[in-house]
This record gives sequence, C-alpha cells and structure tokens, in this order.
Amino acid sequence: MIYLDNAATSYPKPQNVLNAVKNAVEGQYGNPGRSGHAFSKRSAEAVFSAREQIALLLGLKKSENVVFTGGATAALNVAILGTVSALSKRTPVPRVVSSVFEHNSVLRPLFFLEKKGLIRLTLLSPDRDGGLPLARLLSSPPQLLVLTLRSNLTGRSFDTKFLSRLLAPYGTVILADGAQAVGGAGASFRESGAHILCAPGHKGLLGIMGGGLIAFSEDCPLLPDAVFTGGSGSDTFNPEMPSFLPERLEAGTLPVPAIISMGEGARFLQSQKLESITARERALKKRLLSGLAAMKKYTLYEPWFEDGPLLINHKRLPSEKAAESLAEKGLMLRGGFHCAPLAHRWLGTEEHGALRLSPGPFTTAHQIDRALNLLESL
Amino acid sequence: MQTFIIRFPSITYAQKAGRLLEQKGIRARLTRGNTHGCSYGLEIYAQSPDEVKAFLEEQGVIFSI
Repeated sequence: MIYLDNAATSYPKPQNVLNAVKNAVEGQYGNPGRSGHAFSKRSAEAVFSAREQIALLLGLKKSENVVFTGGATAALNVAILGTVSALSKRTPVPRVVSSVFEHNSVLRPLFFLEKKGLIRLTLLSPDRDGGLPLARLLSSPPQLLVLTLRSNLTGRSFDTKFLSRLLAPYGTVILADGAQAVGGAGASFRESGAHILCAPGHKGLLGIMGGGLIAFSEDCPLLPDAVFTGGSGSDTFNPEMPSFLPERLEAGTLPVPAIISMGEGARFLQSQKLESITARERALKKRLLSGLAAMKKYTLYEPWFEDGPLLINHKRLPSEKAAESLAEKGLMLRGGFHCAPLAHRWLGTEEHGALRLSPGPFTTAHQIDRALNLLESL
Repeated sequence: MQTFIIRFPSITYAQKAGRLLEQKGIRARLTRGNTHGCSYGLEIYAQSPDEVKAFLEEQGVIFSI
C-alpha cells in the first residue's frame, strides 16, 4: 500500500500523537475550563499546552491568540463571517478580494455573504507573472483579502507577505487559508504576513480529524465578531461572548482529543525541524515529477511549484477511472474534483477533474518509485 | 510572604499566569471560583498581590474583566 493523499489527511500519524490521543480518550480527562476537579484541570492543562506548542510553531508570543475549532472549514467560516461582521461596523458593505484558487471552504462563505449583499466581492485570477494583478487590487483597496497560502490543487502560492506590506497603508486585513501550508516551512506569521491564519489539525499538523484553528497575529487590525455563541466557561452573566481571545471565538465544549493531537503534531514537527521535513517533501515531489515527465502519458498542471501536491491527468483516462484503477493496485491518491471549482476551470480540468498526488513526512523515496511504476502501468 | 488568590476571566489566562509565575519562581496553584463571573483563580504564594499583578500586567495577561 502506498499512501499519496496527504493533502486530504496525513497518514500515518507520529507515535507521540497516537499515544496522546489514546491517553486522552482512555484517560481521566474532563471538560476543560468548566469545572475545578482534577479531570477538568488535566484536560485544561493539555489544551493549554497544545495552544502554546502551536503558538510556538506559528511564531506567536501570545498563545491565547490561538483559537481552536472543529476543523479548517469551521475556522474559515468563523474567520470570514466574523471579520466581515466586524468590518461592517466601519464600512457598511466591505470590499473583499480573493482568488480563483480558493477552496470551497473560502468561496462558499464569500458567495453566501455576497448573495446577502453584505460584501462587494472580487475574485482575481493570477496574471502572467503568477501573482495577483496589482493594478486591479489597488484600484479600490479591499478591507479584507482572503488568500490561500498554498493551493490544494497545484501548490500555487501568492506572495502574501508582499501583499500584506503593499496593503498595510489601507488597513486591509489579510486572512490566509493555511490548510495545505501549516505544518511546513513558510507558514508562520512572520513569513506569510497574514493577520489571521486558519488551518486544520489533521493535515500538516499531523493530528487526528475533528480539530482546527484560527490564529491571530499580534498586530491583527481587528478581531472577528463571534459567529458561534454559547458556553465559554467564563463571563457567565454576559449575554454576549467574552471580548477576549480565545474564549471570544470558542463556544461550547472543545474537541479535546483532536486539540491534544494537534499540539503533539506541532511538537513532532519542531523536533524534526520544519525545514528538513519540507526539504524532504520537496525532493519527493521532484522525484515524482521527473518520473512522470519522462513517461509522456501524463499532463502535468503547474508543476513548477516546489511545495504542495502534484496535479496530473492521464492523457487517455478520466481521473476517476485512473484513481480507481490505481487504488486497486494499492496506490492511494485522489481523483475527480477537489473542492476548488474555479481553480479547476482556470486549469482546464473542469470536465474530468484531475489526479492529485501528495506525499507526506513519512513517505519514502522507495514508495515514490513504486508509485511511478504503477502510474507507468496505466 | 503571603498566600492570596487572583482571579482570571478564563482558565486560559489563569494557566498563562501560572506558567509565567512558575518561570519567575513563584508558586501558584489553579483554583476554581465563580466570583463576578471570573471562573478560575490562582492561589499564589508571594510577597504581595500588587507586585504579582504589576508583573502580570507587564506580561500582557488579563486578570480581571
């Protein structure tokens, strides 16, 4: 079996993650931040430790700027809807710019807001140089820029750090979808220039499914309004959510095992050094790329991005058929569409989708060579 | 030296304060309380509450709503 679907969820998980999750489920863990007994405190201590570990990974001094959610989609919905709600107190219908390379977890909340007349939305396509068309961006600077740090299709990235500096005089909030980037090099606040960063726990962070996060830079121009409201374990008599992070955006019981797993995943990544993991994954992608290019039976889409997944299509087989056939031979990858409709259209894969290959931190060169043999056999 | 309790708006801040005090060599123990909606407190053993509050303020830790 060869697993090349790490862009969907990472596999396998590090041993320390598995041990910690087993302990959280089997051990004496109560509801964190609710009661004062030992079980509750143990749970709260584990959540706090995960917050600190992730803050360290993202380059944050304030661990309270890490908010836990039920996943990256929940994080992006809270961040987008809540930020637009907060912005609309200054500008009734804020201008929001995003790109055609976004995942549906960004596009659908934006389309929802646009349909309600709550935002003026512009979706930009990359220009010839691969960046966003700056003249269009600056013709009417947005209040909010929402961009992926790495496309889930081809690994395409935009220079968010440059865009953040460019838009700083206009007070634009930079919200980054780090679903495919966090857990690799280049996704910290310093490197990305983002003010708000959303990520899942089960991809690059190597945790289990069911957790995600929103993190805020220390110079974030404004905080989102609460989208979910409910128990926060604090400020009980306030009819609204607390004004401070993280409780402002953490309504209800937290997914403790998933949070613990994210923290342990971050610990593992730091112990292995992000740069080395990234360098290894880049080498594997390059190996895949040169093998596929030599076969001449595959179309490669934007293969020049060194990070992230590799998107290909067999020249005669629709991607779903190819994926099915490869799965029968023991190669797990993803075919069809990948929840990024506008990017598929832009790349010309809107009819049959595409095959996505995504190695992870535990993929070996030998597995890549075996995968190439199977791809050759199609 | 004396023992006193400082309350925090949420467990996150109580824990953060506890960690910072621990690093400074000050003993602090998490306690549960419900006064004025402040859910958690730290039972602290130190010179004075004012000194500890000044330190926490300097570190940017919220200790009251």
